[in-house]
Amino acid sequence: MIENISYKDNTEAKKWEVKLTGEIDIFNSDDVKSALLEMLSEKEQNVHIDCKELSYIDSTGLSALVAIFKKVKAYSGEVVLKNLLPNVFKVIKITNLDKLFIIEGDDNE
Amino acid sequence: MNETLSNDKIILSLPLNSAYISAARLTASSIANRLGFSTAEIEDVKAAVSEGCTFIIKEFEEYKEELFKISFFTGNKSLIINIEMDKPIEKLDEENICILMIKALMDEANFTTKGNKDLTIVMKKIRRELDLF
Repeated sequence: MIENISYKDNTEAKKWEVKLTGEIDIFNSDDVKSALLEMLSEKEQNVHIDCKELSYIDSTGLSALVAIFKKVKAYSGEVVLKNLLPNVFKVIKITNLDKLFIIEGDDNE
Repeated sequence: MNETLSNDKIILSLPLNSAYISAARLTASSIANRLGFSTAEIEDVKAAVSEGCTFIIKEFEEYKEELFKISFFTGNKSLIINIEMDKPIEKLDEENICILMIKALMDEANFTTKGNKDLTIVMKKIRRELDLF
């Protein structure tokens, strides 16, 4: 597994809990996408992505997330993005992806 | 802002290798910070520079051995950034996501091809926040 992503199966809530960290750009976005697709091949369930420690994501990283969304949508699941930093939320908003993903606020609120 | 920083030119030359895009982001972020841009504005500049580099790297994939150039021009209340590749581009796709993001993040963005030879992405960010000190 690459260092920018970790995930665990929350069997009780029937969802994947994913954590993205650091910077995701053209250099590592393919690896992130592969890791997420591998995760989904293990079990098809909802995906909750914690972005609290995701400091930057570029267009290729967003494309990777869209690829995951399409896969999850195909089995009527949902992808939730949580704890987005303002700059990450901004790129999601300007690319209109806030209409695609479910965006949730701070866990601690 | 330190007025002595206006009218400077900083040039970064990078290989067409995605491993170095973070270096471009760091440089952009550092210069914008020195010019007194706000945190949100710095993030915009950083992301726009990164998208410009991503566009160039994807577009000119076959020229792996070549370098492309990023020039930063510091102004009194603005930062102009040129990203240049000295190779021909067949057709500029204005709907490309990198281009759309640069346009959304910066105050001005132009994409020019000089005599069908070089591609230059020109972007400008204006500092809007008031000086705090």
